[in-house]
Amino acid sequence: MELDDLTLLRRFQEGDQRAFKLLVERYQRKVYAIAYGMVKDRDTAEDIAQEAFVRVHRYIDHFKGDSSFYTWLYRITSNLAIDHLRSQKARGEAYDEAVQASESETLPEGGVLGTRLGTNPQKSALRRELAEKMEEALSQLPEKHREILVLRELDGMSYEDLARVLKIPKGTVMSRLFHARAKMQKLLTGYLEGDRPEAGIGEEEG
Amino acid sequence: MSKEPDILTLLSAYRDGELSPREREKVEKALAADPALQARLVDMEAVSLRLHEALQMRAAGADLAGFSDRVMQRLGKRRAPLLERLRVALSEMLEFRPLQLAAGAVAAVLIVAVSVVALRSGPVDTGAPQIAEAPAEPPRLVAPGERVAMTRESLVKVLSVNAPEGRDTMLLSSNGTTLIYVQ
Repeated sequence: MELDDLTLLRRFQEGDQRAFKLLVERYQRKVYAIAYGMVKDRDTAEDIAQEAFVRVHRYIDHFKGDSSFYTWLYRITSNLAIDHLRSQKARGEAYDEAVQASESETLPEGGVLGTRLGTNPQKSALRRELAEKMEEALSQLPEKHREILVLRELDGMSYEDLARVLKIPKGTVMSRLFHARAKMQKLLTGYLEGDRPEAGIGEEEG
Repeated sequence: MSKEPDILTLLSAYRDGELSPREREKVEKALAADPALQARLVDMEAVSLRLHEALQMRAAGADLAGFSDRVMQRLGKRRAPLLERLRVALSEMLEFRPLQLAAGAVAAVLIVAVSVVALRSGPVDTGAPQIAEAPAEPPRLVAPGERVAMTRESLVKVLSVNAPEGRDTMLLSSNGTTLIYVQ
């Protein structure tokens, strides 16, 4: 039987190192995906993921158990990724804030993306191509929008958990997600129009 | 100011199933009356779905072989508080090794008992000189040139018995060293 997070945490706090390793193995892919979604670089994402677990290990006694372990872990990961982005920004490395400047989301005509992206399973080659477009668009978003979209879309995190992880009111979660999606749609519309206007890359199988 | 942002914000939360019953009803009424809003909902659905797929693909495709080992190597050994460690060790022994635990307890009692008996039987001769040990003979007068046992192992030779008046002091020599012996 698989032990739940809190049981593993308790065992670890009693000195059982294997329990901590099990927690790492349980969450390593999710943590990596969050980091990658934020920084869009494999090596950096793995470094951030490793560091997130090291921080959890170091500050385990600060975890009160009044929230889920994973929300705490995701929060640490997300903060590390944002710190990395900010340090890059301070060094003048690639960090595009062009989209951030345009706060007024003029949404493209409704229905275009639904048609182009589709909502059914696709061939793997198309999925890969589309995934690259999505990652590219995601990387152009301001960090706060990138963060909330990754946390929400990766694992379907509830608004309540998002509010806890991001330390913002639930109402702000709702509006921030809307703005993040609006920016994402705008970027994707631009990418898709620049590709093959006559056919959607998200054309469905069958 | 247009009401559109409000309904779109609600639409986004509607897509996520995060609205109250009253808000949900409001969005559903708007959707029923507005095909453009329906198209926006389809867009949101498509973007969310494809983003989810992209993130999942990235997570599934990552080569994380040995990741947990690398993390564990970076960690220092966590030491639980002493009482906690003792409690865990004891409970594990009771659960898995009751016989060994009983044998250990008997061994510990024996060690304590032997130590007590040994202490009561007097000091052990370690081979070191017992300087402060009193002579076994009763007090008596000594003469110059006489050899007097000061310890079990050594004799000292009496050089003089001319102690200053009022003081019972003698000069003795042992292995070429002059000592002052005060009774």
